[in-house]
Amino acid sequence: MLINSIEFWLFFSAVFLVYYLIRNCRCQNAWLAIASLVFYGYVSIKLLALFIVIIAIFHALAIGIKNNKNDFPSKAKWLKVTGICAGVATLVYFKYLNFFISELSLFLTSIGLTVNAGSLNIIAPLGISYFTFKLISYIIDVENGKIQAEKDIVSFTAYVAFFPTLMSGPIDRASTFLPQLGKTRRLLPDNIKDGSLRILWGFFMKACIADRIAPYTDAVFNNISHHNASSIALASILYLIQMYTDFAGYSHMAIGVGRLLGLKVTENFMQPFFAVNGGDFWRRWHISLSQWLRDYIYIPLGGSRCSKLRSYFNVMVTFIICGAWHGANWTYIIFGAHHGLWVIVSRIMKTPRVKLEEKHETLQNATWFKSLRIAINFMVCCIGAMYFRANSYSDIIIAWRKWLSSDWGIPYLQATVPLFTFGILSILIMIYKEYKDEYHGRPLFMHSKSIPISITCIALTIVFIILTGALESNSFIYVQF
Amino acid sequence: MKRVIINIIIILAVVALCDIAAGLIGNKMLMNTPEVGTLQTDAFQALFKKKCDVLILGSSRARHTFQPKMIADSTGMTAYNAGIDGHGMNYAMIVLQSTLERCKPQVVILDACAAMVTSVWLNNSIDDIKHFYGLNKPLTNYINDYGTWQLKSKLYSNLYRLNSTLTWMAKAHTIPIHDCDGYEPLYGNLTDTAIINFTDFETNSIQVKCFEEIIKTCRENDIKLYVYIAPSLEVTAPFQVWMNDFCRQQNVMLKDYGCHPLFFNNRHRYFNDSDHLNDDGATLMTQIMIKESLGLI
Repeated sequence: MLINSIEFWLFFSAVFLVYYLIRNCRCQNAWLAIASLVFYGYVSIKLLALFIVIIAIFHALAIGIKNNKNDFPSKAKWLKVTGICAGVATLVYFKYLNFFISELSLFLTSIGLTVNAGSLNIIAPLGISYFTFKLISYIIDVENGKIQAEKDIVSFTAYVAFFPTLMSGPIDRASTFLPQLGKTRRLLPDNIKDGSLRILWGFFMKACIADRIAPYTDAVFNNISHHNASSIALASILYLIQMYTDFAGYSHMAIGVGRLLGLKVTENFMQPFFAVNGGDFWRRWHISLSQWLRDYIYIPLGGSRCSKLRSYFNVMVTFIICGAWHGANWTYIIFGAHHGLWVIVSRIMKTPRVKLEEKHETLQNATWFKSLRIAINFMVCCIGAMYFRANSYSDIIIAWRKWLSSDWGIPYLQATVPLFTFGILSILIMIYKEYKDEYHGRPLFMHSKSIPISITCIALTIVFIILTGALESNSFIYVQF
Repeated sequence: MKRVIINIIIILAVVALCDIAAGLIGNKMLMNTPEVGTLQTDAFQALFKKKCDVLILGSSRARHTFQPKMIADSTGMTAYNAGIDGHGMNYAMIVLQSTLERCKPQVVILDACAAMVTSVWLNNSIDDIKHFYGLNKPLTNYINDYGTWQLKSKLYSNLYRLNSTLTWMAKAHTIPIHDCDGYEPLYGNLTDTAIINFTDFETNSIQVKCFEEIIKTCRENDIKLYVYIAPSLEVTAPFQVWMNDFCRQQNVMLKDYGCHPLFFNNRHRYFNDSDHLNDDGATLMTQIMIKESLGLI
């Protein structure tokens, strides 16, 4: 039951109606928890029991930490460590065990030892990467005293299993989400308007851009050795746009659904294509994950309050974990390392750039200089997207060989008419909107203060999506994580 | 709140008006699709226009194998090749039933391949022609009988029905109009010699039902039906076994050229790629077909 499917919207309509008929906050939370578990069960009934057990264990651990924090701080600390280990172990078992087994068997074979290691038939629970990160941060925050442990298991379940964000995030923090569950939510006009517009924009990004690009990127990356360097370069650029519109599209829809339910969900993207360097990019891209990694990995490692070399090491470790979070595949680890390296290079380049800007004062406000920095960052991110999409690390080697060879020619453009007509038009519309959001911040188009303009734009957007979008409820890239 | 509700109603009314307008304009445009030889325009010709004595049904293999002009020259019968890339038995059935609304062919040549009776092309076949829902009776009946409830509910919208038609329609109007017989020759010779063996084969009940419906329709209308398996280097042995059994049970003539030595031993000469004959191969195969099937009439 994907967020862009008819089934989801029928389910949501039922949830929405009952939700606002209830006038009591605890009952609303209970309804939300039930709906979320039903949603989970619908998608993956076999693992529902496990999911409930995991929620119950972490709830009990947090209560244990709270009860022991003042009198037995070491016991509370142990409970926190237990919680972290349980979260990490769950992730490792379901996501990485088969990968470790196959890599170990490959290694042993390479040194001449014969092993007969089969893979285990493990089905990863839906949204495991998202809910385990939620649970780990919750346990740490409770032990650190940043938040109070939630006594009510129903509210806690509603937070962890909140169905719009369950499959693909954003990874909400308990400190921002749980307090919202303490008040009765009422149906407010602003919430309806904002939520609906977010959902509509999310649909536009997914159906008119991401799913229109997908056939092209699939055709190139699934058969990389048969394509020339220009096709791979074009596919890499398009894949970065696809990744963004697919994931941001989901996030917009999830945030919009949350808003319709009277809940503010963490923002996940902020015009990432206007970032000027690696650090800036990750402040705008998958914000909920990058902030999580910053708070629970990077800062505990020492952050930037240590020697330069050590801080670079911390960055690299954080980004490799970021890459590995996406899945058990070397391509994701390379993706993480690539971005880590880019953040380090951006930091190293900061001093000479500042000096240059001081020397030539006009540079600081020069549009061409900023555009150049944006373009360089974009190209680096496109290479990262290629690592992310490549089916294996040997495909990455093939791509680089082609780029470094003279195999540049006319890119493959067959069978991509919808992409190169309405797809490109949609990309231009999105870039224009993001440009306006980034530099002007004025409410435009659908958000215009003029009601006739706003209504016309909304209606035209709906018509445009239905007429030109890919409406077959295709899956989202980040659902697999 | 009242204001929001009014706005929502206005938006929905505007969208509904656009939907109605799109339906009216779209239907008119669709029914005036020019004959230019692209896949979509050929599908229109097959569903609404062409009349023939010999109707060829199938997928891309049929499209690149059987030459209606040669059939007409040799037998004096008019022929049309309604084979389309990536379309299964359901599409073939809809084309046959649509043709019968205009004329009664004497012979149907059905070129079958494994993907046509499995679920691989089940949805593709319909997605590519769903814009004719409501305009073409056999297609409408098929969707009403076999379509998912999601598809049926989406098809209430004209905008959805016309989704993605603008691009091919615009492209079609840039190509000069010319008579097309559905055959699309492939030029060039095979470089790779290997046979590709597939072992996975599982029939789809809807596709099999459509196959049975084609046989039944031909019988009821006294049309001679010949089932062919055109030469290919992509061999799905379980499919060939299934096909032989099925045709024997249904008492239908099957001509299996799946891995025929005449073509296989001269594969560099007759194949364009592992799954399609080139123009020379198509000429030879059409000659064989005329001799052994149409020669009997």
